[in-house]
Amino acid sequence: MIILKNILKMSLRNIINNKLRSALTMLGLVIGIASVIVLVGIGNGTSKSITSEVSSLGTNVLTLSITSSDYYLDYEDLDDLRNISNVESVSPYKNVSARVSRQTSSSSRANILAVTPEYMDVLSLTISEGRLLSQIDLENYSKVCLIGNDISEDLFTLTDPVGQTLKINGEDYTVVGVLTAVGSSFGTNIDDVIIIPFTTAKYLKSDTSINNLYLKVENEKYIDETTSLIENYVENTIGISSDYFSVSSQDSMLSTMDNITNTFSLLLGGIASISLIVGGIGVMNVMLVSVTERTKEIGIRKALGAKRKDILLQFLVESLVLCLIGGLIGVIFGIGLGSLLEKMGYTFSPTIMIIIISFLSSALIGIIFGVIPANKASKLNPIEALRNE
Amino acid sequence: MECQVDLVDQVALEGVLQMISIKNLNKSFFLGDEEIKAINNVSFNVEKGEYISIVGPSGSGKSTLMNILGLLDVPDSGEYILDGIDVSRASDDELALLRNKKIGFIFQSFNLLGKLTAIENVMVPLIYNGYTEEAAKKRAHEMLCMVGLEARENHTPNKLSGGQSQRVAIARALSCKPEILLADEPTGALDQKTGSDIMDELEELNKKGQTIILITHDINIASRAKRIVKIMDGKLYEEVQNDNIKKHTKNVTKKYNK
Repeated sequence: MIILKNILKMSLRNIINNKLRSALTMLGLVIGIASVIVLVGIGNGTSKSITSEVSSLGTNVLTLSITSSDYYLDYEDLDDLRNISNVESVSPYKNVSARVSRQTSSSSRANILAVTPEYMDVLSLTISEGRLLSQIDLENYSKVCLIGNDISEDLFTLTDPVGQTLKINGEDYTVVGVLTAVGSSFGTNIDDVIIIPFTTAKYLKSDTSINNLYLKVENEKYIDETTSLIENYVENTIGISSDYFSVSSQDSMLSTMDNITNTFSLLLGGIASISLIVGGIGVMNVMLVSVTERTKEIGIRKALGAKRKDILLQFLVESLVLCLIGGLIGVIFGIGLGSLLEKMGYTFSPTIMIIIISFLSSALIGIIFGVIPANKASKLNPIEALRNE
Repeated sequence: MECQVDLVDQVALEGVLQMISIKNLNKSFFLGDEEIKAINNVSFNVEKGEYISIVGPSGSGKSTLMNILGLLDVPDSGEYILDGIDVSRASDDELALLRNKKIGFIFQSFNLLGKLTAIENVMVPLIYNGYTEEAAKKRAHEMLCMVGLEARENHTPNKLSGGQSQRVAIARALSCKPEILLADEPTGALDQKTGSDIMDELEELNKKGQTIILITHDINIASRAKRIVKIMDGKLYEEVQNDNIKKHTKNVTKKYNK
């Protein structure tokens, strides 16, 4: 214990005495630890933001997509789907591309979505002013629309958009409401969207066949059973092979996403770990040089009664202290760099776990890469070591 | 300033009188294919409180003998009993422990640790001995006081003269109250005057009861000891009387082997 305290003191002094060498050795570790924290933190942050987007859709929503253009659902099929037990509402949606303009200004980012009134309920969307789409709009093929908050700012800078018109592919559409700003939601940025009645899409696109729809279920508990019933209906009643459509819940999407982002984080962490190992090799190299330089000292210490263990400990502690200081600087540097990137728009979310793990791995590197030089030092023959100049 | 230092363990002094007992000691080296008998069937004893010098030219086996006596090396065969303990087959760690507790080294080139101050140098064996930091510091201060260097205890070796460095080495060697003080050419790197001072210091220590083994190639230095042993080609020859160095040389090994 006394010896350990003394060794610790000596190690710190040695590190301070060789400032430049210690700093350069630590640099490798600092870079390694910092990159582990930054890369894993960013991977983690991205994963978190994807997860929150996916789950914002609600876990009681199923997505039915038909992946082959040869098959589609008719508007009448929706009633059958609505009648499946536990299905609360059905909302087909279709992305339409068209030019949007008003007077002299145009909006390139507008994303036109043709939906039924139920869409608002399924995605839990609300409006900040005006009114929602109605069943009558759908039946009358009305040229009306709801606009997202950003579109409203782009096209109607100062005027109240409700009751005004905008042009979609040159035709006038009356704005009936503005959506509450929510930001980006999975797949679609609701603030950039122009929502029109599903039937109205026939003016913009030749077909109004249904390829994608959301189904909201009443009770989350029976979501798996409901999924089977829907699959059964589409495959057997409509006659679309199961190869050409899929029914997925947010949960299954979430776990797929989780898998992808975890692999992504692991890969980033793995790449960063390589730099950590390179840093460790640097530590070993410096410690080996230090053993050679201090052969005489080792000889003197042995003559004065140092056991193998004492010498081993001396070099091991020195390597450990070097790595722990490097690790600590690396953690601070990594968090600092991550916060800086966060200000630049990346999502950086380091877990306490990854910080602890990377700090501990710096200690582990100190031990693993310190053992060989320390062992070499402890095995030196005192007579030969004393003869060394 | 009067320094009160407890040098020799008085209880131990009253125990066994034989400090070192060596019987039929052998140690060989190989230079290529040629076997060199550095120590050839050597036997001799050292009693407690003796001041003995081992003198011989380079290549005589003097260094090898010193390494074995100082527990830095083990013999190929033969028996070495130090203070009642058979150390001829001790392991590396046992040797380290015995070196710390029983042997004090003084080297020609002082062998102080350059980055440590004088007092820290003296503390090194004390720390390995198990002293606490405070106790080691106190003991080291006393030791430096004994050799008259208490004013320079916070200087590193490069700020000390040769004589001062060797005094620090003496303080360090004696700090753990060793049974034997092993001095290997202690004046080799010093000028005449300083060397003579160091020799006076050793004589003083011997008068206080410290067993000293002095190893040198210089017959004048060796003659300061009470008993002189010559080493030649790995064999020991005892000088019976200090004053009649050249007259009464006889092979002690033969005597002990009878």
